[in-house]
Parts: sequence; C-alpha cells; structure tokens
Amino acid sequence: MMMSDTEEHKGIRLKAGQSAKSRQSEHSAELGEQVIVQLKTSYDKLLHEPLPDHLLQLLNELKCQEDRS
Amino acid sequence: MSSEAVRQGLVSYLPNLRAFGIALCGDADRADDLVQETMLKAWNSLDSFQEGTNLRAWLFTILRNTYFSECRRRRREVPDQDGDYVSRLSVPPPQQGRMDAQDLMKALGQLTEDQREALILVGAEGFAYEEAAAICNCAVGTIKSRVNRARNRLVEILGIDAVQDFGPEPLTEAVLLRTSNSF
Repeated sequence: MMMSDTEEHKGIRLKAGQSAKSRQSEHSAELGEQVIVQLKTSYDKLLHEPLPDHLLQLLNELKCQEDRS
Repeated sequence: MSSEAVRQGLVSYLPNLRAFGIALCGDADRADDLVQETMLKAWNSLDSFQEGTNLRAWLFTILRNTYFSECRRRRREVPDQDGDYVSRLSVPPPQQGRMDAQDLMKALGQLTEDQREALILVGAEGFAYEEAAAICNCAVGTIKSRVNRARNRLVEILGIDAVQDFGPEPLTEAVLLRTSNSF
C-alpha cells in the first residue's frame, strides 16, 4: 500500500521521536548503573573501616555470657 | 542453629551491619548504637531465629526495625527532625560535574528513607529484590520501584549529565594516563 507524502513524513517524524526517547532512556539507564557502581565503591570503604572497640568488646562479653550458661 | 554459630554470624556481618547503619542514618556514632542494640536484640531473641533461614537478612531486619522505631520516637520528641536531618546532609551539585564518595553518601541523605534503605540493600549490600522486600516488609514490586526512583533521584541530586562525570577529577586522570603510558 502506498503512503501519501504526509503519512510518510509523519512516520519519519514518529521514528525520529521514538529514537530520541529511546536514546534518552538508554542514557538514563547508563547513568543509573554508574551511580550504583559508585555507591558500591563508597559502601566498600565503609565496610573496611575498623570496627569500634566497644562493639568487639560486646561480642566478647556475649561469648563469656554464653560460656557461663 | 547454635548460639555459637549466631555469634560467628554476628562477627562476620558486623562490618555490613555497621555500614548499613551509617548509610541509613548518616551518622557513625548513631550507627554504632544501632549495631550494638541489634546485637543485643539478636542475642536475646535467638529462640525466634528459624534455623535454615537467612541469618544476614534476619540481622538486617532487626537493625532496620530498630532504626525506624527510633526515628518514630525521635519525631515525637523533636518536631521537624526530618527537615533538620535533610538540611544537615544537603549537598550542592559537585563542581565541574565531578563527584566523590562523600558527595554520594551525602546525596543518599536527601533520598526518602524508604528509597535510601531499598537502594542500599539491593544496590550496595547485594540482597535480591525478594530478600530486600522481606526485610522491609513490603511487596517485591515496591522495592523495585523504590530502587529505580532512588537511582534516578541520585543522578538528579548529583547533577550527573554524562558517564564521564563519574571519573576521577582531571588532575588525577592526567596522572593516571601518564603513568599508564609510561609502562
């Protein structure tokens, strides 16, 4: 079926619009993924921070409590 | 599970619980108190832990419930606690579009509490959506939606326009490039 010039132009415009939207969506997804990578890196730094003495001491106390019971 | 096995679990998950606490409340001292309370509660509730279930998820559930109970109590005691919290942690977009770990952790403080915990549990701790949903006591779809919104909101808060914005700042980048070229 032949398309009229107007219909054809509409189709091209629609495709161009979809493509821009799709590119924007891909771009957002890429940035979102990078934010997660960055978050993991920052979180890993927290994981490797030395633990405060009072928490370790509490664990030992719990252990002693367990031994006594 | 024996109490010794739980104790071993507490020891091995202690850094994770502490990191989760810090990321959740934005304050290391408060996070240490949360972890301490979590440990005591876990120790005193060993009978309620079902053998064969996920110890890590159980401990995280105790910590987040403790945190939210404390938040509710603080709100009753100090009006506008949330407003003060957000303003304390607010961060302007990083200069030259570059960002560092501190910027990111501060930006986390500007997310809603629901979004923040979902993003940390799934994005940083690596819990499956199903596990995170169980910890937060909500539907899996809700967690997926919160993670997605949180991710987009972080990009917005940090003013990130391009992937290059995540790289090292220009001077470091130049040094790295020069170093890699010399080998």
